[in-house]
Amino acid sequence: MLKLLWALIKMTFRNRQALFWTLAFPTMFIVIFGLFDFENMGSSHLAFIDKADNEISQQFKTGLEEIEFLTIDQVEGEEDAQNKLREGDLDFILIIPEEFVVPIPTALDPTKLPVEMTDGQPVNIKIFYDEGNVTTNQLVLSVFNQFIDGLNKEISQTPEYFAIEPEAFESKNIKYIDVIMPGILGMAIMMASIIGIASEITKYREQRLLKRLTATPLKVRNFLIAEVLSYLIVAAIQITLIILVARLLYDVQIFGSYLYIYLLSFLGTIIFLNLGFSVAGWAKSVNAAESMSNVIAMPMMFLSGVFFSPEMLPSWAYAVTKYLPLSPLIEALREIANNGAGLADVTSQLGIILIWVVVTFLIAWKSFRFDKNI
Amino acid sequence: MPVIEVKNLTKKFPLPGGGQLKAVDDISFFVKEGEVFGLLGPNGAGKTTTLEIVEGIQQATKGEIQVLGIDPQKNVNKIKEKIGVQLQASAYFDYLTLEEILKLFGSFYKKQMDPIKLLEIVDLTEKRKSLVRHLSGGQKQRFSICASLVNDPKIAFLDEPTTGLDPQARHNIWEFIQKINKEGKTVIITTHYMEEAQELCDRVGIMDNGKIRALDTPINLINQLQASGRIDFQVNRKISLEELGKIEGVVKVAQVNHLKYHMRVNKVTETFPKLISWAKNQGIEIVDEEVTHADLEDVFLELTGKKLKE
Repeated sequence: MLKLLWALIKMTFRNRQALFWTLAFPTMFIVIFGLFDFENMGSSHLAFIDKADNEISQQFKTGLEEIEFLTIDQVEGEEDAQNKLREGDLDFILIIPEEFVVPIPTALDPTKLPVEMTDGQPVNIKIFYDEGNVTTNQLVLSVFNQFIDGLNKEISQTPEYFAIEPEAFESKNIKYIDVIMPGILGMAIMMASIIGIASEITKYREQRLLKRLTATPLKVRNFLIAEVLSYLIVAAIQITLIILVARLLYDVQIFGSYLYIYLLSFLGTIIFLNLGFSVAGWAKSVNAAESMSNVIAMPMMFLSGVFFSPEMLPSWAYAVTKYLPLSPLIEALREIANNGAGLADVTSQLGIILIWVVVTFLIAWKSFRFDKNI
Repeated sequence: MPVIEVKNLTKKFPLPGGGQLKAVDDISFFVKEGEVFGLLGPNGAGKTTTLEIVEGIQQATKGEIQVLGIDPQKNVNKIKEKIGVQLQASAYFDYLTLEEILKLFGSFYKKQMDPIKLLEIVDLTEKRKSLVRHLSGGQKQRFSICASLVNDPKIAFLDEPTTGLDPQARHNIWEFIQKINKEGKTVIITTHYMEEAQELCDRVGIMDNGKIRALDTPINLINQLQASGRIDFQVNRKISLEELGKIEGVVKVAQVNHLKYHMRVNKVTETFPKLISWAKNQGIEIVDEEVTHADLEDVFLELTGKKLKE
């Protein structure tokens, strides 16, 4: 079976078309999206309405001022700010509520630990933004999130976070390409797996190669395992190449563990291979297989947040799209890559992914037939 | 001892609109060790289905099969190790060289042959670094034959090995098949070319509509015909058909045109001298005489009332 695996990988690398779609195409995306330079695109204008006006809110403001592409504009009250936002003079309004108080940390008093909570509810910082400005929003919102995250952690003084946070704070300069890179990772493995396996298997069937294989003592199971392994290896090469290019060209950092990135991507690859096998079970010809795979992959590409956060969809749509197989994968990859999350931070996404692994396997099991007689 | 025994084999397929198609209809035959056995018949006669059931790729609806003493319905993997299969119009991996494909296929078997030696058999050693799609039609077929020999099988199943090839390439393939057979392998082929069956096969089963209509050596099949030979000739003056028909061994006579005649005879070797002496006695001069043996085409025509070739 090792020989078969090796042969399959060799074939992938000799098939220039497949190679283009699996390796060159996603790399191209990275190169192109990395060229979007937000400093040249002008900065985002922000109104900072500070109702709390205390040390911690000031610290928050200073922090925001340090971000290159954010300019804090002066406004006269909330209403003025909202008018400006409507007219496009402002991109964001941040309203810090009065309850944004920091109790004096009483270091060893555990009852005081969730300090940002009043009445057990988190204090909401309101953000108004222009929905039309999708890409900047994604970026700025993620910066805000990190900020709040950092504050939360700092306030709650969780010891293990304390050590790493200052460093991360300094180096974390999230660019658009940083947000996009995990999305492209997800897209790349999805495209390569679904379209790859569906058209490959249908082609083998059309050419009667599958039947030829059944005439040998090779077990169907071993053939399928070799196929899956070869795709996992190609996925690993894809991931490495994409990260490498992003890193070398645009200095994209991975804040979390590389191991988790690979692990999640492999789970994703298995989901998409299952879908590919299902398509191969249904499709009668290579053309049909290719268009069916596109019908499955394309909506996910646009709805699962490859290029922007799907949270920007209307909430009813997001409620649906966040359960698409690609969505939790990209969300989790983004959390790990951009925010240094561990697996414990992405359990809900991981849960959806694992459910999909099982569900798609069952679908594939039902619909996939190695060979059809007549 | 027969290497293959098939008894009362039937295969039915469900038809899309309901009902069933009897692809193979209660056939029995055996194949002797070391022979070239052929199934001859038109497309859709059930040859491929029969072959694939014997190979263990398809399941029989009914019937008993033994291949090398093993039942392919029960112990298919044991059989797959010992037989070589070439499928009708099946392709190989696009991005592997001939040598790599042979190595890969060899790795599926316990016993395997050296790829170079395999390529030698079909005269393709020079192409060992080429991809299948860079081969000509004849070379592809040759490769497909040698690929069926990777496990040094006792029996080679070749399904329409020369379909779609020009006569030159076809003769070429026949040579290779004879070579393989001489090395001691039993060969089973299906074909719809009667020349192929006649040239290659020790015994031929003539199949039509899922049934084997006749099974024997090509010579016996032809000799069993009432009229096993044809004589075509021209004469210098008109002769009576009735008179011609009276010659011993003549089955049928026809006037093709003004002075051209056609006769069907039992045995040309016996009847032809009689025709000559009859003509001498009558003072008739025979020119442009052409004596031909009947062939499997005629056998097929007599058995089924149909022509093999459209």
